[in-house]
Amino acid sequence: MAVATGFQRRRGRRRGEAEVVPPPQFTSYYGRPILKKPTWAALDIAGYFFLGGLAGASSGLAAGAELTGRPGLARASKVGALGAASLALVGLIHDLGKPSRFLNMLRVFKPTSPMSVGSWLLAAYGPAAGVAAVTSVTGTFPRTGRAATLAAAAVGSGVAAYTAALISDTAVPAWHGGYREMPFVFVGSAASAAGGLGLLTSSDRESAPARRLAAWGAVLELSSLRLMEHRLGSAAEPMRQGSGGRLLKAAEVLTVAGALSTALPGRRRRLWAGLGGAALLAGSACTRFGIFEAGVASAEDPKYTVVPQRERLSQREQAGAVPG
Amino acid sequence: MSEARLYGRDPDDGVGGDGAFFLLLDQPEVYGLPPDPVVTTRDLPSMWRHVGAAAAALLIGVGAASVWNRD
Repeated sequence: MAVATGFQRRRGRRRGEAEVVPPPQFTSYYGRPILKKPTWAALDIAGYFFLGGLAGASSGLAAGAELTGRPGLARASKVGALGAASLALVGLIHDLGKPSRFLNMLRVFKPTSPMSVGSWLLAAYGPAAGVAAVTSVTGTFPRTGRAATLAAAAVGSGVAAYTAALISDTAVPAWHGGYREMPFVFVGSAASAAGGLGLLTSSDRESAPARRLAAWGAVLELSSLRLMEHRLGSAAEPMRQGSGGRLLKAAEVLTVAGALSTALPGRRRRLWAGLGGAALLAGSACTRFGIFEAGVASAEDPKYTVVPQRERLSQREQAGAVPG
Repeated sequence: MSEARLYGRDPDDGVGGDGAFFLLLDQPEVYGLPPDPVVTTRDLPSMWRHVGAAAAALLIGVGAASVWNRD
């Protein structure tokens, strides 16, 4: 069979890590990309992922703080969540082109489209976060405010997580290949950002949940990212080199430094908490932009499309589909 | 002509429905086609499950961060 002989020849040539990348004649038509790269603007979409995650996780932190008697942290997180959600909507509408297109998204609900599910999540989340923030600042309608706070926390967790399905449900190799870990990377990144914002905006007396959330988020984000890179194999290369690699390296340094600095004791504790909070926010943003850039790079170079698919084919062949 | 093959032909399913196949005289990559394409939406149910688990993890994380060590 013609296909089988082609693979056998290739497998014979492969010796060691360096030759996993196939010879040029296998790459593509004159080395041109096989996929069309995403046309999204990084600032709109990666910015939206960061702000949406920050908003969603901040609403969760606000609910936790309110239920455990920390009104300062709760209020700051609610206002932060509303601000981040508003900015996220600006980015999203800029990507769509005009505001009415967002309303058009609400004419149908389509579970097979992450964009449709996300539109509905945002439509439910925005008003809840708005009511939660306004009632908290003005001190009016406490019961309505409590209900809105809990609703925003519940829907907000979906807002923070669904964007992973949004980018993983594409043919972009570095995004689709990591679809199992991507939601946990995004949620961890969102948690460390919300923790960072809480550390920046709350008093030392109330900031303990923000500190713990930031540390938990940092661990979840970085460990999920490791797992994802391992699963992606050669398609994880754009996450270690180029602009995506630089951004993800910066994200790792900022997130670890931010999470560690919040644990520093002493008289300068407040200052360290503020600096650490800012570093955590910056680290979360770098993670989203890094994953965005790595995905674009993995679509631009045909080897990230071809090599993992070739490996998949030869694994299937070795599993016994075609003997010898 | 040992390199000729039918691209996209799979009597069982293929990518989940190409609706067409092509006679290629070389590897698919040479024509700018992916060698083993899949419909990404086929994995969407699994993606939603992972998204749901991650969202639940966030709520648990937030709850634990708020309650832990509380005195």
